[in-house]
Amino acid sequence: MKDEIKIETGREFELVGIRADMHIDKNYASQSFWKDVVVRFTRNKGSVFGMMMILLILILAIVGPTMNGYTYDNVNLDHQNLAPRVKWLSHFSIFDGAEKGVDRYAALGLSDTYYWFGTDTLGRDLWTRTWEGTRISLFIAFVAVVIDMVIGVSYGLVSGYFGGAVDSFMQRIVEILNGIPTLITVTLLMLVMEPGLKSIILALMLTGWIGMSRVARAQVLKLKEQEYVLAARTLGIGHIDLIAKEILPNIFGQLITMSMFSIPSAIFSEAFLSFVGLGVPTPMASLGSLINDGYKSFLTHPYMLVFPTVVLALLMLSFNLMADGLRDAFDPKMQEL
Amino acid sequence: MLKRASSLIMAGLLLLTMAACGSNPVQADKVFANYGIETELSSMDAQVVTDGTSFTIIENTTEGLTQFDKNSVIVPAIAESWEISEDGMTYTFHLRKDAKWSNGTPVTANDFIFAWKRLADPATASDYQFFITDVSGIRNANAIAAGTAALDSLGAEAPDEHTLVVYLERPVPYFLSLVLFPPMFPVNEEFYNSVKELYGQSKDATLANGPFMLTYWEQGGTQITVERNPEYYAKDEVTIDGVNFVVVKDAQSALLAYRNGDIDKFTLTGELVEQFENDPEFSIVDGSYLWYILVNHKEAHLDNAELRLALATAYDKQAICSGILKDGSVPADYFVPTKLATGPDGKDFRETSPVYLEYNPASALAHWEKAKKELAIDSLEISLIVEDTESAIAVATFIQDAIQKNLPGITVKLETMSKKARLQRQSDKDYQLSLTRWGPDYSDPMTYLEQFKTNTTSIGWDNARYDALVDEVTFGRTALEPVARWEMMKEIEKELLQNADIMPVYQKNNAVLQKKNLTGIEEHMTIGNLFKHAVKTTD
Amino acid sequence: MSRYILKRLILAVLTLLVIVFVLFLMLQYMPGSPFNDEKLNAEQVAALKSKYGLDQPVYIRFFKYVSHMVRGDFGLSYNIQKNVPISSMIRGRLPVSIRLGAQAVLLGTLLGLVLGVMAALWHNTFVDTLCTIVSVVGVSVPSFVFAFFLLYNLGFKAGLFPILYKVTLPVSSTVLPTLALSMFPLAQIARFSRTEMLEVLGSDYMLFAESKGLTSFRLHAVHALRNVLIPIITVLAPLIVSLMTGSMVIEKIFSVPGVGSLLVTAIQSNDYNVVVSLTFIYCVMYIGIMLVVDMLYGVIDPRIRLTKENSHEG
Repeated sequence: MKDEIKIETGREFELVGIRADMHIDKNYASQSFWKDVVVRFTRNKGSVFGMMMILLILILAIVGPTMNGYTYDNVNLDHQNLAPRVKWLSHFSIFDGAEKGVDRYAALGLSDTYYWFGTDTLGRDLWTRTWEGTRISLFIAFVAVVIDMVIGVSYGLVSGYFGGAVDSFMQRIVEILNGIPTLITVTLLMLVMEPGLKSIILALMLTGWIGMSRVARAQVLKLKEQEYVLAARTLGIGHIDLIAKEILPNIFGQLITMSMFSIPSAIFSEAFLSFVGLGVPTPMASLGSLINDGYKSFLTHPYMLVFPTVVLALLMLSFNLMADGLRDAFDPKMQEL
Repeated sequence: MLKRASSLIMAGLLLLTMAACGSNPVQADKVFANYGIETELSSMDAQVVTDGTSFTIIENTTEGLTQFDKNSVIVPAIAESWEISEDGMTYTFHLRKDAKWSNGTPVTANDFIFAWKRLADPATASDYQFFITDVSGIRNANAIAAGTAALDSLGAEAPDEHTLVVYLERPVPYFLSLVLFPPMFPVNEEFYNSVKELYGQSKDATLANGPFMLTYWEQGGTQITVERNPEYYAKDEVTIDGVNFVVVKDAQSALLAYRNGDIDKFTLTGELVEQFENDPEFSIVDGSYLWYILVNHKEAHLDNAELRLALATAYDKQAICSGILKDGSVPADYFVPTKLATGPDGKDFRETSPVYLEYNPASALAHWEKAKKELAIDSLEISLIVEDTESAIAVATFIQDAIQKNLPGITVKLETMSKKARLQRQSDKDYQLSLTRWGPDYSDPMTYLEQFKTNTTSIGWDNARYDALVDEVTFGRTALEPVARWEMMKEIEKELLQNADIMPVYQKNNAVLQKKNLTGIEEHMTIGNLFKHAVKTTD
Repeated sequence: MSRYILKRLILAVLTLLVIVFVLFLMLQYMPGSPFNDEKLNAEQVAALKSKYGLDQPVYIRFFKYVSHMVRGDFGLSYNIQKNVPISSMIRGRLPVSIRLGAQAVLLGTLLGLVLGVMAALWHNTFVDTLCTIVSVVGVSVPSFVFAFFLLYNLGFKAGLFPILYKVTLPVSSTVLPTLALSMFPLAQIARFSRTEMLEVLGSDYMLFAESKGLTSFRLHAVHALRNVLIPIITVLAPLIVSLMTGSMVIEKIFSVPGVGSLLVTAIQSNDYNVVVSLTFIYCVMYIGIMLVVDMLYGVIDPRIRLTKENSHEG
């Protein structure tokens, strides 16, 4: 191989110009791609369910905190550790306000008080806190996906596509970034910034995109040797067009699946941050911090853990189902199986 | 190649599995108490350690000159008797002749002198150096620590093997309670020189002269075992064969391990306490840590007494104790804890001292109104730094809510961080309010009261009257007059609290679950969990 | 190939040096200090700092540290285990953590792969739904909740395995932590291999292979699985590293004497040398794994090796 003439990737072919007698096949565009996607997506029951569920959780996250007149931060030690109680669901044992057979509402003389998800150890309403927390977790998840998409994908694409020295250099940077435990990067941020959402987003920005960039890179490595890419190069297509038009659409399914995974990991990173003191500042709540808090009372008051965990799990399930549907919709091959 | 790689991996795994199997503690048919602790043993070097776990294990394996009896009265230990000079500045200890180290060599006066020199030596860089310099008042300790005097000039000498004479720079009425605290424990010089810098870092580099000796300790391991010391002079008093200290960091895992019988005793925290309040195995152990809010007087507005008084009386301490902590902690309307020190009248310091800063939302509001006028403000944002432990955050959240509710216009911002980061912010005076705690080092009110001298702490104030009072009690003529001294210490407490220069919150007690068949574990204010007289029966 | 590996190794050493230096710089600005107990006065803090050489400039400390490290001396612990050499602190803990992590990855990957491939082969059936549920539960239930669930049911109620790590029972003690730790890789791998397998099954070469009349087993085991493995290996490497974070929590719950919990303590108590040493070890493992992964690529997909050699050796 030593004697081979080296030509830089992407420079092997040169566009000679488009002549009128060149025939470009445009028949495939008889139906719009996006219309196709929507049709295929709505045909999938699971993904529609997922989308509805996300919408429902989103709505609850928006209106939930204002639904019962309690606030997320009102401490009331007289009302601490009250089990969930809902007026019209009180014949279900989960929502009758009793825990291990003891109805503390009755003991406290609160015949007309209803905490739908119960209260926490400081007597704060868990319904309000759960939806308040969902709101923050969703926001963090949204930011995480955007960061993954923007930084992670472009980094991976560039690294994998150009290969050689560029790839080697970019992968060393990734190794260095990844080599330092997130915990340390994050603890350091405490000094520079005040604990809060901004610091959390910054912490996620520093390391969160790495997983996504690796997947993107691997996919590009696989695709760039394929015949159709070579064909596109023969036609003299530029780097940016090649990446955007030929490679990106073909790895979209992978990327969406991966980004759906970055949602839980973002939400958990946030919970971990709460654990080291960089999470949402008390008395604010996130699903992660609620689960963390609820865990500590798991043996005594399991409901404190159950509700935020169920909301989180539902959220994750829905994102996954929707991701599946999206991928199938983008990639019609799947439907034929 | 794939095959080669996978066989390599397998070989590696196998090796690791074997490596992890190392040596195991042997415990056949002996009666062991299993005590659940929250952190690992850091070192067995009594002059160097600072953490509770290490202190507990050292206290079970080593004895000082004196010790507490069941009722926390100071009684002889390695010293069988002592004389104190008229001026209270010379102590002569007569050591028991049958006290031996676990390697058979006798415990001598030189062992104490060697250990104390180590403690004062700047080369040791002990965190507890202040104990011999500022607290004990032993002659020249300060100069040695500062590097201006030779080690040998320390005011302690051994006329013979079993006599120890200690010269103080000033009378220290609580001196006998200092020498039962680990930093003042003896070290055998010959043994130390045989292991040098490895001293206290493994079971083989440790000697015991107390009821138990260390028999199992793997670096970083989650189990530490001590067994009865055959060389201990009072070995007949020890009935139990040994103690396993088991590290359990998660509170709920600890509870399950307790119910499973893996551990016999542990400290309950948080919500778990509530569930066991009426359990026969549940008990409250008096603690002496006092949690309080440290105020930075250098910060804007916090030098205003009305504002401080408003803040200090705006949170319900009783609710914090019975609603959040639930571990028997008591509201602190004082700074010197109860059961810490007994005065010349034979009564506890608290019995004859007044209380300050009781919860009173109405007067808090009145103070706040006055403060608003004096400072010409109508709202205020104030930050409270707090370490990231469950109970500290819950207490801080409660205080935040209470202040905001009772003093409209004040917003409290909570900043949670690691304890080390909080202490750094404190010592950099980069804070406004800090929820912190103080534990006693000896049985005298001064262990609490002397710490706020101008320019030495993070409180950031200039209080000449306070400084003068502390100096008088420590170095002045009053130091020799017990009754006057006692009264003056009440003055110091008043000086600290009447204007809420610091804001006490609660005195921490501990909720403990202990199996019924395990009894006789002794607890005192400055040291605790002594298993010397513990009895474990099989039931 | 050997020149390529050599090149990678040199790069790895450089990377490690950069990491250690960055760490030193970062720790310099980390909040807190190892010596700031309330009971210390200013002179003592200065004395402590000079005793441990912390009063010297960062670059001097860096060179000293690296030169000592080359000789296997990682320095002393400042406050977790006073004055104890870090090498001896880690010696006992590292094997425990690695064993736990390796067991969890092996178990998770194998089960995940089986589940994912089965889900793809029986697309839209009960198996597929099961795979989705497992992968959703695995990633959405925090590992400590799952760990506690295992601890409560299998450890406490059924009494099958010890609740707390016991030195006398090193094998059965790791069963519950391994299970808890393997949940996350299992979910990730199951999910990912399902997606990949579906893609591979729909590709032209599979159709071609099928049309050649290959047996179903050979078709799936040799042709399909091989192509599924490439992206799996990519996610596997970061997954192994992420287990280290996961193990911090698991180690705490089961009282496992490993390095995960040590790192947390070290950061919280500003024990710089321990942080740097553990991070260093963690980086060595990570870079090592990446190296192995890149070589595995070549083994599984010869096309990639070709391009690599082209670009690196020209």
